[in-house]
Amino acid sequence: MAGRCLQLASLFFFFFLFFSGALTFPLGQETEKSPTCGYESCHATKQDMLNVHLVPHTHDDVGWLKTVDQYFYGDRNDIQHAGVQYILDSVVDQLLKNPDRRFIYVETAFFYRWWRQQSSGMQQTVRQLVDEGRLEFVNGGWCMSDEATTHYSAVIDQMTMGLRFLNDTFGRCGRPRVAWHIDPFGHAREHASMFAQMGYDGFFFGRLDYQDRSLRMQKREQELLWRASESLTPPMADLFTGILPNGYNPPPGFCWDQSCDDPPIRDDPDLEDYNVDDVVKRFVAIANSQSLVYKTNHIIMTMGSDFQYENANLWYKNLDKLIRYVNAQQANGGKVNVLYSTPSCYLQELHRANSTWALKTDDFFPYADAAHDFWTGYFTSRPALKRYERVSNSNLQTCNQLEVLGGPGSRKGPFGRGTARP
Amino acid sequence: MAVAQHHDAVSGTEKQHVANDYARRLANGWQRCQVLVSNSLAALSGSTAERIYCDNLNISVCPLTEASKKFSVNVYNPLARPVSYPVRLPVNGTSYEVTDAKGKPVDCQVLAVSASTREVRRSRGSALRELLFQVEAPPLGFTTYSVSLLQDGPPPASPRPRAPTAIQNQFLRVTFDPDTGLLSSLSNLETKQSIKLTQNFYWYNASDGNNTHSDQPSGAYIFRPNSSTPFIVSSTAKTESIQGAVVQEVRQVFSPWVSQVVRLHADSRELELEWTVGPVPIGDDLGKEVITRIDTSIKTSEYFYTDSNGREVLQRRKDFRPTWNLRQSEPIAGNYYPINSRAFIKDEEDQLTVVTDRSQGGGSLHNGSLEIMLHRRLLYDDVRGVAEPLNEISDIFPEGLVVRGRLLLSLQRPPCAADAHRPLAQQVVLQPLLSFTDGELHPDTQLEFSGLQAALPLPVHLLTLTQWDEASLLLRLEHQFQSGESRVNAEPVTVNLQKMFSTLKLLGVSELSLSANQWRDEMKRFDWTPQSGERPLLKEFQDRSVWEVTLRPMEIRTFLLRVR
Repeated sequence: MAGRCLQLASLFFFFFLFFSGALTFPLGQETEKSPTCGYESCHATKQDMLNVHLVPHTHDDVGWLKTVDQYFYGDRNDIQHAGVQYILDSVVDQLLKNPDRRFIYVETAFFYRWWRQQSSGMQQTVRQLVDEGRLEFVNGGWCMSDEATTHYSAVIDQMTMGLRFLNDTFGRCGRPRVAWHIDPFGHAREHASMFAQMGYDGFFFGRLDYQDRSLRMQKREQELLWRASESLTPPMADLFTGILPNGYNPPPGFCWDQSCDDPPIRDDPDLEDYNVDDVVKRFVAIANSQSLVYKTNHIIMTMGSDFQYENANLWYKNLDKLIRYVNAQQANGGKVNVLYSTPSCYLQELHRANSTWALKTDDFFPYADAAHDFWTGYFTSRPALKRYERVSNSNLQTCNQLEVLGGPGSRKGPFGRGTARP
Repeated sequence: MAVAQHHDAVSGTEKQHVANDYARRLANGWQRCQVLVSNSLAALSGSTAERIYCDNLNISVCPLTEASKKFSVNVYNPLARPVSYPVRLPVNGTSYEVTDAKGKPVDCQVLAVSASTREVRRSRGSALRELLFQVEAPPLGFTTYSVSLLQDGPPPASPRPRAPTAIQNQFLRVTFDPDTGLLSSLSNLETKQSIKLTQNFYWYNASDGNNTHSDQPSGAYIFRPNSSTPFIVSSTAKTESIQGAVVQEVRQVFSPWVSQVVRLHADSRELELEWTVGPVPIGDDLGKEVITRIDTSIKTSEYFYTDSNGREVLQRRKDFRPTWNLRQSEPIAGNYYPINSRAFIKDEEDQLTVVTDRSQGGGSLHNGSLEIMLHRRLLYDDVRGVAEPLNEISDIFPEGLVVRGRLLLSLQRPPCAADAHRPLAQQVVLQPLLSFTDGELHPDTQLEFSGLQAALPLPVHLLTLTQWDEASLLLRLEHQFQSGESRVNAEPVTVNLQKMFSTLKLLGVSELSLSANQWRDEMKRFDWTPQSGERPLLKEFQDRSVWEVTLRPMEIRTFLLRVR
C-alpha cells in the first residue's frame, strides 16, 4: 500500500511539518522486496480439469472446554488435548520445509499471544512466509464471533482489534481477503453486511440447516450471493458466500492429524500394505462426487479441524504425497488436479469463473442439524453472562470516549494508570 | 470484550469454569477502565475527589449511597444526544433532597426495597429503601446531581396491597386484571391507540432425550421442549403497588422463583417489565426453559420481527423459511429466532416493540403473541461436545442462579414505531455510567460537560469514539434507521465533523473501511453477478465537503481524525 496524505481542510503546512512522520497508518510493515502475497501467490490451476483446493487449517476456539489461555499453552490436556502454541510452532516449521505448502490462520487472539513470544529472527521468518502467501490470515478478528447473540458494536470492535494487529505487524500481506466463520451455529445477515463493509471479497461457513443444505446441494446453490442489507445500495452489503462441503472437516478417510485414525499413505511398494492406488481411487471418487453439488470445476476441501496441526508433519507429509500421486494420474488421462490452496485462492477461481450466483436476502437462522436438533437454546443460555457482556460493552465505550475527551491525563492521572485496552 | 464475542463465549456454550473465566476477564477490564474514567472525569471536572462505582445497582447494593448523608452522582451519557434516565439508588434514610447541576431541586421518591430484591441480593447489601429520581444528561458528557439526607423527612408510604386497576402517566395507560393481578391492556395516550395485553411466565419442560422421535435432549446449544404446551408458573400474581411522583410500580409475585415489577416512570413513553427468575427449581428432576409470553389483540397473521445483531430487522413467519419448503419437526424450537435488542409484532394499526437488555431467543407461536426465553436450567448435556448440563450455580446461589433483567414495551403506530424503538434500543445498549463522590464537592468543580457542540440529529448514532494513536482518533458515525421505517428519520442526513466536538480541534480526516484496516477509497472488492438481475455497480456518493459527511439509512462511516 502506497503512502498518502490525509485530506487536509486547513493548516496544511503545520500538519505536514509536524505530523507527516506519524502517517504510518495503515501502511504497516515496509518490506524490502515486493511481496507476492494474496491472490498473486496462488498456485496455478488447470482449466480442463477438476481442481481440488486443499486448505490446511486449524480451528482454534478462543475458549470452550478450556479457557483461552489454557488452550494457548496446551494446559489441562486432561480436559481436551489442545495447545495452540505448539500448533503455530509446528506449522511454521513445516511450511519452511516445502514452499508449496500453505496454511491459514484465523484467530488473532491466539496469534498475538504466540507472536509476542517469538524471537526477532522467528518473526522475520514468519513475515517472509506471510509475504509469500504461504501463511495467510483469514477472518483475522480477535476471535470468530458468535452470530446469534452478539451486538454489532462489539463485533466491529473485536474485528478492528484483530485486523489492526495484523496490519501493524504485516502490512498489506496481513490483510485477510476472506471472512471465515466455519463453526458458528447459524449465520446473521448483519454479520454478512459488516463483512462486506470491512472489505472482504467473500465469506465461507460450515453450518446451515440440514434441509436448506440438501436443497442447495441439489440445486448447486451452496455458493451464493448474499444481499445483506435492505437499506444499503448494492453491492455495498453484497457478500459472496460459500458453504463448505464437510463442515470444516476433511472428507471421510483423509484426516491425517495426530488426533485421527485414518491410514497414512503407504507408498513404498517394498513394504507391507502399499495403498497408494486405493487412496488415489478413494480421493478421486470423493472429489468427483463433491463436484456434482458445486457449480464450477473448482472445489474446496478443508484439511483440518479443532486444534489440529499440533504435529503438522503428519498432515503435510501425507498431503504432499496425496498431491503427488493424484496428479501423477494426469499422465494417464486423470482429470483431477490437486493443489495446496487457501480460501482466497479458491475464491479467486470462483470469481474468474464469471458465473452468476443465487441471490439470498434473508439469513441462516435457525440452524438445525437434524429434525429434532434445533440450535435455538443458546440464544438464551447463560442469561447473566449475556447481560454482563452487554454492560461491559457499554462501559468500554464510555471508557474509550472518556480517554479521548479527558486527554492524555486519562491514561495517567491522579488515580494511577488506566487503560481501555486489554 | 473481544474474546467474549467468541462463538463459545457470549453464546453460553462453554463449560462453567470457562464462563467464569470470561466473566473474570470482563471484570478485570472494567477495573482498569475505572481508573481511566476516574482520571478523565477528574480532568474534565477539576475534582480529584475519590470516585466510587456501584456495579450492583440492579440489586440495590452500593455501600456509599447506603451510608452517606451527602453525596454527589456523576451521570456520564455515552450517547450523542441528551437522555433522560431513571436513577435508583439504595439508601437507608427516609427522605432526601436531590438537586441538579444548577442547584435546582428535582422530584425524588423513596420507596422500600422489595422482597424479591432482598432475596436476590442476599448478604451483599442491606439497604432498606431506594431513592429514585430522573436525571437529564447532556450528549457525550456528564452532569452532576447532589443528594442530601433530610433529617426530619416523612417516612415513605408503604406499598399498597393489590394492584390498582390502572396506572398511567401523560403518555401511557396500563390496566391490570383485578382477579389475576396480570396486565390486561396497554394504551398510548398520545396516539390514542389501545391493545389488549396480558403477560405471564411459563416454562417448557426440557426434553431429557427419552423420546420415540429422537434421543436429543435440551442443552446449552439445543432447545427441545418435550411438549409444545408450556407449564404456567402461576395463573395469578400476588401484587402490591407503589405510586409516587417519579415512578409507579406494580410488584407481581408469581412464585418463590418468579417475580416482576411493572414500572411506569413519570415522563416515559415505554413500559418497563423488570423480571427476576430463579433459582429455577429442579427438585422434580425436570429441566426448565423459562419464558415470558405477551398475548395481545394485535392481528399478527403468523408474522413477527427480530433484529439482526442489533441493527436491521428481519421478518419471521411461523413454520416458514423464505428459500425452501420447510418440513417443520419442532413446532416450538423450530420457530425460535435470536433477538439481540428488539422484537416486534404488528398489524395495520398497532406495533408492539419489545426492547431487550441482552440477547435472548424468542418466537411468535400464536396470533398476537410474542414469547421470549429468559432463563434455562437443564439436567442433561446436549451431546455437542461441552459435556456438561447447563445447570448454573454459584457461591452466592448454590441452589441455582437468579437472573434479573428488563423488557421495555413500546406501543406505536407502525409507521412511527422505529422513531421510538431505534433510540430506545441504543439507550439500553449504551447506558449512562454513574459514579459517586462522598460529601460536598469543591465549589470549583465543573458539574456539567458535553463533548459535543450540540446533540447530533436523531438518525445519527455515534458508534465509536476512541483514541487510535497519540495524534489520531477513530470515529464511527451511523445512520440508525432502515430505509422506509420512518417518515422523518429514514432520510440521508449530513453532519459537519468540524462543528461536532466542543473540545477537540480537528486537523485532518480520512475515511476508512468499517474495520479500519484500509482507506475507504482503496477498498476494492470482487464484483459478483446474481442469477436474477444485473451486476450492481458500486455507487459513490459525494459528500458536500471533506468535513460535511452524509449518512444514508443504515450506513456506518469510519473516520480517522487527526487532532491537536
